[in-house]
Amino acid sequence: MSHAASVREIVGTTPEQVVEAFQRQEILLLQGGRYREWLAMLTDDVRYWVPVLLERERREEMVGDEDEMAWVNDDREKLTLRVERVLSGYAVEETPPVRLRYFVQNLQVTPSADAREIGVVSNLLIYRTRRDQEGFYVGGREDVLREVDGAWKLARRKVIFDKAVLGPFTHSWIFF
Amino acid sequence: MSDNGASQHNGTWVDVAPLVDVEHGLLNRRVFADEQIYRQELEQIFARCWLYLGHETQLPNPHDYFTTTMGEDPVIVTRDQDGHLRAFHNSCRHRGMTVCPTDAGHARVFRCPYHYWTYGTDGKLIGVPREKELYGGLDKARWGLIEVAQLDTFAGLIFATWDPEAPPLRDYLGDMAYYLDIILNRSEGGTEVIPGPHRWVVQANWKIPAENFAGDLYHIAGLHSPMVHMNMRGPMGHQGYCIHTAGGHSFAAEFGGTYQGKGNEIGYLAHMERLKARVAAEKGEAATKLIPMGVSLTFPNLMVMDSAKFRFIRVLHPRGPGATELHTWAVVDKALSPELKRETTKQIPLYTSAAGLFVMDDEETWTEAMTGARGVIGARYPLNYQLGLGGEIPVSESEYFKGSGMPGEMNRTWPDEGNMRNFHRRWRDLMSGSAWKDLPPATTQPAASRNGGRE
Repeated sequence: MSHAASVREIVGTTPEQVVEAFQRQEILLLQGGRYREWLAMLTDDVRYWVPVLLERERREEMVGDEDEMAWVNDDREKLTLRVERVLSGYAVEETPPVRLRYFVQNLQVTPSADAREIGVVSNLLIYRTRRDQEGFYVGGREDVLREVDGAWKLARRKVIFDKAVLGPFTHSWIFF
Repeated sequence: MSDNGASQHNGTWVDVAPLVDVEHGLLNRRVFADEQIYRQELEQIFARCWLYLGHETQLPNPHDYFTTTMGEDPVIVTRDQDGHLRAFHNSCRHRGMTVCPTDAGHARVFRCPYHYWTYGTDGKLIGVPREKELYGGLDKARWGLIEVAQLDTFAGLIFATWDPEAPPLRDYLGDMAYYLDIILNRSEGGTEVIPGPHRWVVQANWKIPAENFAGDLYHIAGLHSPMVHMNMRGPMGHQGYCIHTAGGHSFAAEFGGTYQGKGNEIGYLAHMERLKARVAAEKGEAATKLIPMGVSLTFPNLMVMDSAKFRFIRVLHPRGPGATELHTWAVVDKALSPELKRETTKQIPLYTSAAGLFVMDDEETWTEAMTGARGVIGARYPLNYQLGLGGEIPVSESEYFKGSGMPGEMNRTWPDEGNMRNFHRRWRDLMSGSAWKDLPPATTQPAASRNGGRE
C-alpha cells in the first residue's frame, strides 16, 4: 500500500479511543481531499451503503433493503473508481475545489464480543460549498470498524440522510 | 365561474416564436430564465402534454398509491378497488390542503386532515363530517378529487394529461413509440422498476437537462474526458446516431460507446445480446443496432437511458424557471435474474445519478448554463444550435439504417444538434397555444409500412 506511510495507524487501548482516533484521521483526509489515503483506511471487503429514503406512513418503512436504489451502494472497486475520477485532474467540478467540513458527534460505541470489531453509531453533518452553491448533508451513520493485522479499518458504513429529496445544489464530489 | 377545468390563463402572453429560431439554429436563453415564459409553459406544456407518472409495477394491488407531480401540480396515482389506474390532483376540494402527504403506500381512503373530507382511491368524495346537518344538499358527486383528463399506459409506463383535447397517448408518442418499444418491450414479460427513486434538485431550468438527454453527444469528448482518461469509456468515435421523430421526441448514442472501457462486464450485456434475436424477428436486423439505445427524451420531460450496464427512467419536474427536481428509477426486465437486477441497479448511482461519475460533470454544466442566462446580456445574443443544420435525412435513407423503414430523421454527419432543434421546435409550437389539430402530428408514417412493424 503505497500511501500507508502517510496514514497514521489507528491504535488505541479502549474502543472509545480507537473510534475517536479513527474519526479524527478520517475527517482530516476527507476534508483535505486525500482520498487515496482514505481508501487505505477501508478493509478490502468494505461495504458502503447510502440508501434513499421514501416518506412513508411509518418510520420503519422509510428505508428499503440493499437490492433497492441507493445514493451509493459500493464495494472497494467502485469506491476506488470514484477516487480515481476526482483525482484525475480533469474534473470540472473540482475547479475551483469544493470545500467540505465534517462534523461527527453523539458517538455510540459498541465493541463485538471478541473485541475484533467495533460498532459506531453517530450523527453526521457535512457542510459543502463551492461558487454560489452551498448545502448540508445531515443524517445518521452506522459504521463497523474491524481490526486487520493490528490496524483498525472501516468494514461497513451505512448513512441515512434525513432529507428525502437532496439539494438544491450539485453534489459532484463527496464521500459521506 | 367555470368549474369544468378550462384554462384560466389571463397573464401576459409571451410570443416565443422570435426566441426560438431553430430554422437558423438560434435560441434566445430567455426561454430558460424568464418567469413569464415559465408560467406559460406550465400551462401550455405541462397542463397539455402527456406526462409520465410512474410504472405499473409501483402499484401491484388495489388501493396502492404513490404521489408525484405533473409540472408543479401535485398528483396521487392510485389503483382503485376495481384495479384501474387513476390519477388525481392531490388537493382537497374544500380548502385545498394536500390530502396525501406521503410518497407511496396502501390506503383505502384519503382523508384531508383539515376538516376530514374523505375520498376513495377512485377519487370520489365519500365522507363529509356532519354533511346532512350542516350542508343539507351537498352534491358530493361534483366534489370528488380533480381527475386527469386522460390516463393510459405504454409498455408498463403510466402517462396522463390534463387536456381532454390531447390526442390519444399512442398518437402523442407517434413514431417514438416504435423506438420506445425497442427499449422497453424487448424482453418477454416486460419491465419492472426497482423500489426507491433518486430525487434531487439542481439549480437549472428543466429544458437544460432535457436537451442533454434529447441527444447531446457532442459533449462527451470534452466534458466527460475524465472518464475517457480513466479508460472507463472509450474515446469519442465517429459513428453513431442522433435520431428525432415528430412531436419533439428523440434519442442518441455512439455505436458501442458505452461498451468500451473497464468495469463493464456484469453479465448484463449477455442478457441484452439474447434479446437482439427477438427484436430482429419483430423489427428487422437493423433495429438491433439500437440496443442499447443510449439516451432518449420523450417530450417534454421523460428520459429513458439504455446503456450496456443499466437502464433507468428519469423525470424532470420543473420547480420554477431556475430549478428542476430529478426523479430516477432503475428499470429492469422482469426476466433478468435477481443477481443481475441487483448488479445493474448498483451501476446507476456509480455512473449517472447525483454525484455519479458522469453526471457530476453534467450537473456542473446545467447549473453554470443558468448563470449566464439570468442576466441581461445573455438574452441579447442567441445561443448556437447550428451543428448539422440542414443535413437532416430520413433515418431510412441513412448509411446505417438504409431501407429499414424506421421512422424519423437523423443527419449526414454525427454528432449533430438536430435533436435539440426538434425539441425546441415542438416547445415553440405548443407555447403558441395552437390547438392539437393544428400541430404537426407525431406520427409521420403508418406502422404497417415499416419493416416488420407490428400493430
